[in-house]
Formats: sequence, C-alpha cells, structure tokens
Amino acid sequence: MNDVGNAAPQPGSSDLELAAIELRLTAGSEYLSTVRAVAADLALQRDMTLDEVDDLRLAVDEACSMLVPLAVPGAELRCRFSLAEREIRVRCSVPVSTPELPPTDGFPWQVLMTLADSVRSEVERGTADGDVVWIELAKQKVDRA
Amino acid sequence: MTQRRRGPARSDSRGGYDHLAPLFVELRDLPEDDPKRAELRERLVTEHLPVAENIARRYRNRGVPHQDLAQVAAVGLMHAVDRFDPGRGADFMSFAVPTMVGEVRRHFRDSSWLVHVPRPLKERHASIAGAAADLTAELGRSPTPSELAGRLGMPKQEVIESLLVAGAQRGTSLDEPSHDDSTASIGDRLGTEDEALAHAENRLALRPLLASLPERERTVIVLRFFHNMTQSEIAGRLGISQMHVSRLLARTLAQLRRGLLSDG
Repeated sequence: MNDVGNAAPQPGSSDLELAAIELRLTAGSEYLSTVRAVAADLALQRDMTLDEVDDLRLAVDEACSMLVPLAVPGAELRCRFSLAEREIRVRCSVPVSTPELPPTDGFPWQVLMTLADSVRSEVERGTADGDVVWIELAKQKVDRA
Repeated sequence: MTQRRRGPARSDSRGGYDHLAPLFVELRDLPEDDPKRAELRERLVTEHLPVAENIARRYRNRGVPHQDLAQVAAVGLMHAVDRFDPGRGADFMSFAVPTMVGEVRRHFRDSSWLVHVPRPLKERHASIAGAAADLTAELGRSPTPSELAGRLGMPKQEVIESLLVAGAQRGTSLDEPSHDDSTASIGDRLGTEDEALAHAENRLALRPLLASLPERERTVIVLRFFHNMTQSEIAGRLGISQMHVSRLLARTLAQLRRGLLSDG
C-alpha cells in the first residue's frame, strides 16, 4: 500500500519510532474532534506536560483545519501519529485536486510554528491517491527539571 | 477561640453554644448505665452539628465531596463529645474544633490510599485543576499526568481520563471561576510589547480579526502566538488557570479560522 506516512526517515527526527497510530476519516471539520481526542490521549499517555498536550492538540487541529478545505470533496484525511521516546510526530495528509502547499505566510502557519517544535509541508504528486498534500509537525517533551 | 464559638452558629440564633455547657457536666455525672446518657449525647452531637458542617465547608473543592467531609467531621464531633471533660476548665469548642479538623485531615490523608471510588466528574476535575495550579507554581511549568497522579494519590489513568473529558467539553466550562470581569486593558497587560504585535498584525493582516475579539481572547492569542508565552505563563500573567487558557485558545482559534475563511 502506498502510505504517505511511510516516507523515508525524517530529517531532524532524532528519536526512533516506538509505535504508530493512523486515523483515516472523511475530510470534514466536523470529524476533527476525534483527531483532537486521539492527539490529547497520546500526549497524555506519553506523560507530556499539560502545556505540551494542549499545544499538540491545538496544532493537530490547526493542521487538519488547513488541509480540509484543500481536500478533494469526500476524500480521506489521514493522520499518522508516530510515537518516540521524546516526541510525538504527526503527519496529516489529504488528496488534493490542485497540488499547492498550504500558505506559510498567514496566521494559521504562525499558529503551527508556535505550537509545534517543527513543522513542514510537502506536495507528493502522482501517489496511488493522486496528488497529496501533507503537513507534518513534531512536539517534543521538554526536559523535566 | 471566642471567634470559633461565634462563627459556626448558623442555625443557632443565640449566636453560641454556651447554653449547652451544663449538659456536658450532666453527661459526665450520669452513671455509665443510665439510659439518659445516650439521649444527652445525641442532643449534644446534634446541636453542635453546624460546627462540623462549617469545618467540612472549609475543606471544600479539594476533591472530596462535601457530604463525605461533613460526615467525617461529625464523627470527629462524636469523639469530641465522648472525650470532653468539662472539669478541665476549657470550653467544649476549643477541644472539639481541633478534634474535628484532625478527623477531616486524616480523611484526606487516608483517602489517598483507600479504594479509589470514582468521584463525580466535576469533583475530580476540580481537584485536578487545583493540583495543576499548585504544581505549576511549584515547578515553574505545567505538570505531567504522572505528577498530578502523584500529588492527588489518584491512578494516572483516572487523571488522564478526566483531563480528556474536560478537553472534549472545552467551552462548556466545568468549574472555572470567572475572572471575566477583570478590567485591565490590553495595553496594561502587554505594556511595551505592543510594538511586536503591531508588526505581526500588519504582516498577517490580522488587525480586523483581532479587533473583533473580546479583549481577554485577544490577549491570550497575542501572548501565545506573538509573544510565544506558554499557556501556563499566560495563566500566571492573567491570573486564570492553565485549563482556562487552553479553553480560550481552542475556542478563539476556531473563531479566527471561521473569520479567516469567510474573508478569503
């Protein structure tokens, strides 16, 4: 299967993936509460601080909200949560009809950059799902005093 | 101690319990097997119950239901009635209050290792919010679920579930004390940092959207996304809880998103 979440190891990803969870849902903002809940649960289970948990939850929500309007109508939004010792990495992707990156000069991108430790976005052309746009973000556990 | 005598007299129009003092002497002087003892004891306990109630109320919002505490304080009251010796010169209240407080405190200590009866959601969330605020102040950052569980003597999974429910219900305000009437202006809050904001507003064409937000929401957005303060730092600055900041942020981001979409 052609899974966009399985692209080559991420540059800047210092941590080995311990486990992964992937959600697939109809790309509609009304279904994002499920993604938020999963993001929060994973972050809490990984014992992140409440600030980090909320940052991740808000960041995932923001990334998905950026992608949903770009998606081919009725298409699937995929969110792959990759768990490592010290970080959670999430890649959200949708098939698009116009292979363009989400704008990085607006407030939503600013929100992502603030909430996550790293954010990037790419277009992959001609996958099994057609052209796909993804946003990947990582939230790290800060060293505890 | 005189204040304590006066304080809890909620249901006592005479404003004190001195009139009961002779009953303690009477109780002490009755023979052990006198059936009147039980009657007297019951009356003394019943008449002093408002004091127990009052002590229980002092410990509210700490994750134990009020009724439980009132009951525990009442047990303390019974012990106090049984042990009080009116011949020693002290009045009953100065003996009973510490006894009841001790009983309540012991309950808090013990209930941290007793069976974890699922508490009503609201109670549990209130205690987690309280512990989160305390720990944030102590650690200088927000706590983890493990730290909260340790502080509350609650299983970690219970903490996580409660936080998830609270998160899922964000916006419906579980217990948040309202500080929304605070009147400091955004200028007061942000001081000289306003320059950074002006820059960002121009760059991101945010000014009309930000201007459309209520002041508190705008302040939270600006501090989080333009001054890069953490939720806990914002909470400290505005004198509200981190969970409240979290709710405000989620709600406002959704609102801004709708605004940005309709503009574009």
